[in-house]
Order: sequence, then C-alpha cells, then structure tokens
Amino acid sequence: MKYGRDILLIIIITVVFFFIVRVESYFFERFPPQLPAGITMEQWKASFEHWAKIGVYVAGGASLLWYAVAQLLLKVNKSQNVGKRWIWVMFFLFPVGAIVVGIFFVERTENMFWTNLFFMVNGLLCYYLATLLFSPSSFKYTPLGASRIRRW
Amino acid sequence: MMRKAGALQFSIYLCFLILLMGCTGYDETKPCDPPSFPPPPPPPSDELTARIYFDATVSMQGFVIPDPWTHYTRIRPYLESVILSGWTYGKAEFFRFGTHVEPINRNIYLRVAAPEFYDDEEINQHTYIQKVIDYETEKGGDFDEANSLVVIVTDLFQAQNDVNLLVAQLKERYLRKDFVVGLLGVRSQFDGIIYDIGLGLDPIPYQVNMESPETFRPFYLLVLGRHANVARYFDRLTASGFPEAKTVIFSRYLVNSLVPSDGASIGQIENLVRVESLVPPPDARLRQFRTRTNADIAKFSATLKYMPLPHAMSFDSNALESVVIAKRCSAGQTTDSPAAQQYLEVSSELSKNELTLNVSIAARDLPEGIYRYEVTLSPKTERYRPPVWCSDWDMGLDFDGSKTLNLNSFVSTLSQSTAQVHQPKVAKFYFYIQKK
Repeated sequence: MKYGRDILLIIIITVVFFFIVRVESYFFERFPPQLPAGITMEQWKASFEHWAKIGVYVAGGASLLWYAVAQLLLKVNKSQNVGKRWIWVMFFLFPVGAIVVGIFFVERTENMFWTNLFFMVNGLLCYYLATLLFSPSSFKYTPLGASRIRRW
Repeated sequence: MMRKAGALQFSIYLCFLILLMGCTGYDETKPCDPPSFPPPPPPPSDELTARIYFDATVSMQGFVIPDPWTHYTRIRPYLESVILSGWTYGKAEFFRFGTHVEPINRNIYLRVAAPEFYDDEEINQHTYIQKVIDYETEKGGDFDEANSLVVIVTDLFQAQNDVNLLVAQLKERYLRKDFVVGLLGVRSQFDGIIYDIGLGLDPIPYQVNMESPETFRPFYLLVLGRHANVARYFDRLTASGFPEAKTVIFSRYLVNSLVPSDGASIGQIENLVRVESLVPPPDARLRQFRTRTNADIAKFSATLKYMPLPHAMSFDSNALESVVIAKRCSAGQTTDSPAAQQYLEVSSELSKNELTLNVSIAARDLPEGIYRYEVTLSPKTERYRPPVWCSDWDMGLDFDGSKTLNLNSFVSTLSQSTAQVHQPKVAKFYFYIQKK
C-alpha cells in the first residue's frame, strides 16, 4: 500500500512536470525566440514540447527505476544509506542523456539559452524532486539534501 | 503521523499550484478572415466568332507575289483554320477595309492571295484602320462581343500616320471595356510600292532580298477581344508554321496568377516569428508573423515565383511600385488601418523568375493587434517599353522597307494607355502581423 502510494506520487510529480512544459511553452509564446525563416512558431513549439516531454518521461522513468532498485535490489544497511548515493547519482545519467538528445534534436533558434535551461530544469528537477520526496524509506536520506526535507 | 500527513498535503498543494500555472491560457482566438484572392484571367470561350478584316489597299499588294508563296499568303488560310480547330464552336466572317469597310463573301476572301484583291479603287486608296473600329462600334449590337475576335490584317501604315487617333479609339472602344489589343507581326517577302511613309513624301518601291529574311517587310494582325481568346489565337497561329512571329498583348494581365498558389518563401527574418494560427485554415498563400517582444524594427524578405504570361507587355523590371493596404482584424471584423499602413515599408526586386520583397515594420510604434497587409506590385505606368522586336522593326527617320513607320510610338502609347486604364499588376502578397 505504501509502495503504491509512493509510486503514485512519483507519477504525479512527473505529470506536474508535463504541465510545467506547457507553462514553458506559454513562456515562449509570450517571449518568442528568433526562429529561422523556414519554421513557424507552432512547429517550433511542437518540437520543443516533444523533446521536453521526452526529458520528463525519462526523468520520471529514472525515478521509478531508482525506487524499484532501492526497494528490491539494494541491501538495507542503515549506516551506509548515504553511501549508496553514487547509485542515486548514476541514475541522473538517464535524464542527462535525454536532455542532451533534446538539445541536439530540437529545432534551432537564434538563442538557445532558455530552451536549454528548460530542458535541464525539467529533466534534472523532475528526477531530483521525485526521488528527494518519495524514495523508499530505507533510502530516504540518500538523495542530496533529503536529510533536511524528509521528516516523514 | 502528523508529519506524514503534512508532507502529503504540501505535495498536493504544490501539484495544484503547478497545475493552475499549466492552465494559464494560450491565446487561441482566430479573429482574422482570409482575404478574397483576385481571380485568375478567365479561360478562353467555347464559342468564338472571328471577324477578319483584310487591308485591301495597294500598299498590301506587294505581299502577294505569284512565286514564291509569301508568309503573307501562307498565313491566310490559318487565320480561319485556327478558329475552327481552336474553339468548340468557332467560325469566321470576312471583311475588307481601306477607304471604307465592307463584308466580303468567301469567293472574294479566297482571292486575298491574288493581286486583283487590291485593285478596287473605291477602297484601295487610304488605310483607315479606325474605320474598322467604327464599323465594329456601329454593328456592336449585332455581335456577341464577349465571344468575338476582331482580326485586322494590315501593314500598320495608317493614312497620314495618325497612330494616336487609332490608339485613342482602341483605348475607348476596347481597353476600357476590358477587352485587349493583341499585335502579331510577321516578316514576309514583298515586292511592291510602300505608301504613307510620311506627310508629303512620295511612295517608294521596295523589293526584298529573298535570300535575306531581315530585309522582309512586316505585316501585322491587330487582334481585339478577350485576353484568353487572343492569346490562344496567337499560340495556335505561331504553332501553325509561324514560329518567327512576334507578339504582344496589351492587357490588364501580365501574369497568370497574382498570388502564386505555393505562396512566398520567407528568407531573412528579424524580430519576427512565423505563426500559422492567425487565419484558419492554413493557406500557403498567406504568411503570418508575430513580432518579438520589445522589438524595435522587424524585417523579413519574401520571394515569389514570377511567371509572366506569354505575349505580355514589356516594362522596366527595376521600376515596380508598391501599394500597401493595411487592415486591422478584431473580433471577426476587418477595418482599414491607415496607422498600421504608415509603419510598413516595402521595396521590391524583380529578376527573371523571382520577385523579392523586403518588408520592414516599425514594430515598436505599431499598436497591439492583428493586421492584414496587402501589398500590390505594379510596373510604373511611364516605365512600359516596347518589346525589343518593336525597336528592331521601327523605321525611325530614315526610310527602310523592312521596317514599320511609328511602330515604337504605336506600341509605347498603347502600352501606357493600357497601364493608365488598368494599372496591370505583377503580384499581390498578403501577410498578417500580430503584435502582442
């Protein structure tokens, strides 16, 4: 029951990031980047949202995978929970890979700062928040900064 | 337990907050209607009656040489046959003119290629082309003018060289009524006397060098009717063994479609983004832009295909003028916006196959809203010029039997009269600009 609740909350965090992608898209609607002549704003936003959502999917998937690995494969050793942090950090490679792919394949604009920033925020923050808040209780202090947040 | 419940509550509130942020609206209103595009030139008619007027004055007699056949005598049967073959219901009627105009029966028509056709002294003394136009005007009520073609076969050596009178009549009688004037010239073998070479000047005999086509003497078909019918008549005639024929049609139509169906390709773009949501449904002929936030000057360039019609008038491609009409779109209504008009500058360049527009918008000064711009490009009236062949065939001041007196003047005046009546256009470009 508890696992189910945690998994559901990780999924909710992921869904929230899908809405954040829409907010980012709205940001571009208000402050359009300079697009090349051959592409319309609608086409560019579709490209941005596509790759941003892939980043969120992968981050959500990585969060669930971390949960499963921590719950099922890692041995509980209370004194070494923080020592498993390198495994948690390794899982960042999934969203980082998706971000790199997104940055590479999204339609280019004159200035990619905001696009790249949003890709990074979506992928990294989604994984970080989901694992920070809803890692299995045996590994709840493994994510960086969790010892200050996890009071439950 | 209390702590767990608090964290869960915090998470749920956070989710709601972000969900609400996600719901902040897109502007999906589509307030603009598409413009009504100008129609292409009407197609040729199914039914056509050609009234063919032969110049029966003595100056034409030199085109009729028993041996060999001249281009003039060779073209005679095609004047009728292309009408029969080119239109579903085509027929031809025949006339001769000079001092006056009269209908002729088929037997007389067949003698156009014989010297005696030009021997009738009641008609062969003066070339009054305007009398054909007067005759057409008098009989106008009897003819179905929309489905008519008037073909005047002449050497254009008008009595007293009064080409201005002829142009004035063509303008009033045809150009103003949306008919066109076509001119087809063919150089032909000639051995005879040329009259009307200038006030007070005696007729001069002229004989071509049969081995040298550039010494051949031109004759012309002055063809009056609907644009598509005249163009088809010219196409059929030139395809019937007269590829060397030179043509020009004085018409409001310079291109087949003012708004190319595949639209404009956008080149340089600055402080604008292309969008496709301002006018539903997407239409390649319409380009839509949104100004970038805080943009000062926004610019773009658009390239349209330029495909002039065959036989179109010639003009100076560096002398296009643009007319801009701006309208503001709001809540489904489109209203004139002179203010938006003044914030737009357009320059254009015409090359052989492409027309490039450079558009600049004072985006900072443009009030918020959606605007529809219609840019119409036309050659300047005074920059029409005769085709190169007219200059080559114009006699100028020195007598030359292989050339035509006042041809340049006739074609220039007719071009500019057409331009003055119709302001022929080469392109229309529609685009929308949204400023938020």
